[in-house]
Amino acid sequence: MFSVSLLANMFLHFFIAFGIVVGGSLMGGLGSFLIRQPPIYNMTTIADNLKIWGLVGALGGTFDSFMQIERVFTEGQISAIIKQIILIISAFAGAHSGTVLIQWLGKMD
Amino acid sequence: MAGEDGLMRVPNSFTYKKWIKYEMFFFLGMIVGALIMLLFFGKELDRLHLTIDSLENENKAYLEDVQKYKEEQAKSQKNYQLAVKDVEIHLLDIQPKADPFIEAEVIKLVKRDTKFLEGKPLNSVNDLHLLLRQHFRDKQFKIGTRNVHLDLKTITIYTTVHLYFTAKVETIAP
Repeated sequence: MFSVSLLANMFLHFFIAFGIVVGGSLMGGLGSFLIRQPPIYNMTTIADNLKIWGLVGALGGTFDSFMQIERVFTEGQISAIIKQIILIISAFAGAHSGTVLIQWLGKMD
Repeated sequence: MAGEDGLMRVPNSFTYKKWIKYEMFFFLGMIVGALIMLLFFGKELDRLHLTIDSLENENKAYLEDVQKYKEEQAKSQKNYQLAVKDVEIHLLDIQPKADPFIEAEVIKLVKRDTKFLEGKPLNSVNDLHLLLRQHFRDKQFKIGTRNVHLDLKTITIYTTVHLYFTAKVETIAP
């Protein structure tokens, strides 16, 4: 039912969103340390803020998704929008996993 | 990188790219090391930042309290003023030695003259000391058939004002 390319894209979107959140938060924590701010606290706050950006970054910008949605009305292809929804969900899962990981790191004693 | 003639040369592009790779590994290693240190000590740093913030707040509260107490103290000191409660007269020397009745009468008359000092704040009595000296300079009291010349020697100003006099008694010729 799922083509290989769709599965591969799901993994890609997942890990891109995960990397954006985790990488951005860790670098933000390092930056907070350099400017004498509480690093772990800022790291968890940045992770929450970066969740949406992880989603947007993984999808390559929202315009691509909207263009796919337009194809439903112009060409009548419903499968395109279902693919987009699956990719959005996998990107969101990646961003959310990254946020949860950073919050676990922040709670570690 | 010195060439055969001993001059510094710009490295060729192949060597340059290899070096860039090593340098990038070095910086990446630095960042990874910094992140590992952060994960180990981040919690402690957060706790210290929190301690700093709470101490700053406590310090601010203590400074405000000190300011408030200073103002209250100044206000209470302003309201509380020491005042003269009593005036004591001392006759150090009376020439010639007269009878105690003369002494008692002199003390009574001087006390009458210095009654105005009672109840006055010490600050204003302090300012009046010259006036007191002027008042009792060559002061004479007529007691019966005698003239008593008073001389003010010492003034002690506090809640009890002490005045020390010497006196000279003269008999009035009939």
